[in-house]
Amino acid sequence: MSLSQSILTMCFCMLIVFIVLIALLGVIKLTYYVVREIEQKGRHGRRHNTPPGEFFG
Amino acid sequence: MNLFTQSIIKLWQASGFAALTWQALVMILISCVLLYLAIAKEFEPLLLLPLSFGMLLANLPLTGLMDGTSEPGGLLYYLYQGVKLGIYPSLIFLGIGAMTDFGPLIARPSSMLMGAGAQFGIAVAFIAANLFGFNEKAAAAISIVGGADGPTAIFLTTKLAPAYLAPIAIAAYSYMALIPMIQPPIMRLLTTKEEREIEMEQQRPVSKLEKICFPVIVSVFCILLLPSVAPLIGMLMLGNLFRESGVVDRLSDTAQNALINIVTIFLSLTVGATANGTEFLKPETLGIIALGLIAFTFSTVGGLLIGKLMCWATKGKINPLIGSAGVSAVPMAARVSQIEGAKANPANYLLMHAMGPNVAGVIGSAVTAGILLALFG
Repeated sequence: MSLSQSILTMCFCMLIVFIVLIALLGVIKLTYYVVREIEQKGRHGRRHNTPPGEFFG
Repeated sequence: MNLFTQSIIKLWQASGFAALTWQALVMILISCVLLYLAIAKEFEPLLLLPLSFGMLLANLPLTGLMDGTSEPGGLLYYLYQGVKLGIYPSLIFLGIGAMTDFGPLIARPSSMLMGAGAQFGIAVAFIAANLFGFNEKAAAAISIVGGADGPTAIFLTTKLAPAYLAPIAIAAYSYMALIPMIQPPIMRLLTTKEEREIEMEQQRPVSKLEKICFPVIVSVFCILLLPSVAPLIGMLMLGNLFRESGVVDRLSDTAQNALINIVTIFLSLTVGATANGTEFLKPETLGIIALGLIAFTFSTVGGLLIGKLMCWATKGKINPLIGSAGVSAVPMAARVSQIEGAKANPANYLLMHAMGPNVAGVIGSAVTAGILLALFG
């Protein structure tokens, strides 16, 4: 492999590493928003479904 | 009297002393030096001690410990199959996953960028190795030392250049042990005092659900994208799921204690045993050791430069010192960031912030190994 070929190969390799890890970054962020929504809905759900004193008051 | 002399001569000829070569003697000396470093200086003793003893055993002649040609083969030959087949590095990743808290990375996903930047040394070492005359497979295996991840280096080397396994593993673990000496001068050279003094805001709390989703999502995403990293990422994330799920404490405990210890013994013993005198004592070995240092240095530089970029982009909210922790050696690299930060500003507490890039580096080096495997495997 010539010098220019090896430089090009490594540029390509590093580019893929960055793309994969940036995409993973995006996926983690997305998961955060989804989980936050689920947890907020979960809290609302509990409040509406079982208001204190409804069954035993 | 004659019979007695002949018996003595026969006994001598059948002993290992008569079969000792100068290469074996040098390797025995090297293994004694490594044993000294492991025991007296405590340089990565958990790995270096069995590794150097494996080297010692394999270089004692006529033992046949690494012999696979005769039936049955030697003890170390059979244990070595776990390295050759890529089983031990993956099992070590299972233990690492069970020990690792990915919370700092989930709280600040931008740490991924520093984990990616710290793979820069791999690219530089690959180009340098090519210039030194190594073929592309060997160059890829040597360059992965820059990832500062022993199991990944061993995994990739067994696939691409098994002949260089011993020098690459020794270089990887030696430089990981030398992180507190290699990184600080580079960190001080590339950052200003004002940058090192930056105090970072506390990270947001990470919910349990996020921590449980993380290993599943990373596994699906990374393995779909790069199937060749499945053994490493899959095991790393399985171990982490054991830990975070909270329902398999016994499995989590086994993975992060008993299993990883057993596998570490087998892995380091047999990797050391591959350091055969005739194969090891070549000019290439010195080249590999030098290239490993180049890889390590430039990986630190890459992480720091991305750290500086992020410091500039966030208007000084990120301390660039945490960038150097992007080389994956967990948690040593993060500790070095903490120490250097505290030297500049004693009120600075960077450890948890540096753990983000640190664990991102583990994923980053596994991804890089997968790409190299896809390109050259």
